[in-house]
Amino acid sequence: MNLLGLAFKNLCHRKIRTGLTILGVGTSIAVFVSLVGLVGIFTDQFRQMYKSRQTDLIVREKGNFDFLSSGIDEAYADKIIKIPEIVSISKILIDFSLFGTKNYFLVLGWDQNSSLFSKLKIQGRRPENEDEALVGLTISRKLNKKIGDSIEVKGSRFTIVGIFESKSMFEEGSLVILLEKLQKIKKVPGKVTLLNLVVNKDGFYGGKPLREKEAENRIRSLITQMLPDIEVRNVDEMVSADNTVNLFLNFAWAISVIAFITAILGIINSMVTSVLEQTSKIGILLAIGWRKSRILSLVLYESILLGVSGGIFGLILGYGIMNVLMCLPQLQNIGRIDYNLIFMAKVIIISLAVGFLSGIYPAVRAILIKPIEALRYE
Amino acid sequence: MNKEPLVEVINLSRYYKDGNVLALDRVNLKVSGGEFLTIKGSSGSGKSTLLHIIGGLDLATSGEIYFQGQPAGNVYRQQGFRLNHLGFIFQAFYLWPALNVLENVLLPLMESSLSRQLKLQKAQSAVDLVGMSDKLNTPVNHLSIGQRQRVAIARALVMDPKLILADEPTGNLDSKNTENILTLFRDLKKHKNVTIVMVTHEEKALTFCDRWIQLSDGRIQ
Repeated sequence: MNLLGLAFKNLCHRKIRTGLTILGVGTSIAVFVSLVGLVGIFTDQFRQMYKSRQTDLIVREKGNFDFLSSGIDEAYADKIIKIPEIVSISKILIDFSLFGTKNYFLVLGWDQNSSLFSKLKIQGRRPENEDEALVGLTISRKLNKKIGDSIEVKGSRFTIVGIFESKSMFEEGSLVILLEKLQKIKKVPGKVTLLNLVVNKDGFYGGKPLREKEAENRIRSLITQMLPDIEVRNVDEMVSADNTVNLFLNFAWAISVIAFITAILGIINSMVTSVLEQTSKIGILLAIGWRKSRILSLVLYESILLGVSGGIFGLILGYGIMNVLMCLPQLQNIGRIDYNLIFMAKVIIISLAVGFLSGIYPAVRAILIKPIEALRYE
Repeated sequence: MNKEPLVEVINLSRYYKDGNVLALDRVNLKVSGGEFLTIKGSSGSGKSTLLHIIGGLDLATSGEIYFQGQPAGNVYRQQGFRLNHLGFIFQAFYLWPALNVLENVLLPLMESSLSRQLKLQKAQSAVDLVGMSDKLNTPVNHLSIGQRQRVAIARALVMDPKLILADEPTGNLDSKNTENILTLFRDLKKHKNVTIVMVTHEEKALTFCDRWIQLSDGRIQ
């Protein structure tokens, strides 16, 4: 029997209290897992969408709260394309639209000859007229729409001419119509939300090849000199600097911190009670010659075991909650749950830290017990 | 019995509550190696206080204690002294209810650097000595009161201490179990040459020990 085994047996002996504490810690950890996990799904799908388009740089309006509120002149594309390293440029106008009574989908406006169509696996064809639409597989399945059916977007009726699959679930939950039509629907003529740039990173300047970062910085500087009211970001910056994503993430962390504090207080309560209950038994260990450091370790082990067990339970519960949430109509199209081992490892490390922090006060109380007083305790 | 005193107490006094209550009053006592000494007295006579001070669990207000001729103040401060030289037995046993018999006896050995195998051997021998080898894996809360005290005795014996300090070890036991435990002490003293100092108010104990003293109002009568 070692100290960890003793700690484990002590916890098993107090079945009900241990169970309730693990339940409490697990619920707190589950709140963190599900909230941060959902934001993670959202950002991963964003990143995946840009990657599937082979996006190198994104041009958007400077100083906007989020990408959806960005609006830039589509004529900027004609100026930017003159930069020799730019391989292709795609205009994108984005909107959200309600289909039926509870399903929100992304509506994308693209040029008819946009290179973005070539990144999709299309059954049927791309839209050629203003009353035609290409729908993602998720919309097709969800709304039970097939080629030839019609679909209404903000009062305009479209005929579905193709159904597409994408590497991004986010994109698969969207509907693509011609850019001009969406500009009319949104009443933003000549405006786009973003410009999607593909860069030639193997380009040569002054006889020297340009590395990726150098090419990126050179293009950024050329564009911002030319058009000072816009900003140029790469995919990671675009995702991490998006205020909506950050707002969700900060909110998720704020709630999680409250949940962690609740978990810590739960473990402290459980451990202090057990230290008080075991005062005489801790006293006898000190009387027979156990070092205080061993008593300290014993209490910390118990508390860490509670934290880690709560973490494992919280992971299971958190992913369970996420699965339930992903069945809600509002969240069905944002992506699929990623059972990321690194995230799970981080959760276990956080749980271990929660357990350790919670154990400090009860452990200090335990080593302050004087054997002679402990033996008089009962 | 070794004539050399294992423990010598000289003019030991202990005051409680800011010096208002005198628990021990200039006590002088010698305990020889291998001796079974009983300290008898009524409640509040100071017998447990004396035992706790001899065991280094409490401090005297004045006076001196020597362990094997060395001032107790010095030897008790040594790391592992209590673990290796003293064994404690209490009326309330203080066993860990989450553990079985063997695991409870192993508790003192967790501080020792012996190999796992040797620790197990020592614990099994101690359990065997108290006649509980058929209950090695039994959870202690499934044992009778008498059996629990035997486990506590095994735990006190497992480090082969020179001195066993027993504070009312039969206080919770019926007469049959009391007799069994006292017989066990006498046998341990006889066969293992362990020095035992037992505090009790049990008259029956006097017939099992080598010598007894009476404490009254903190003084040896």
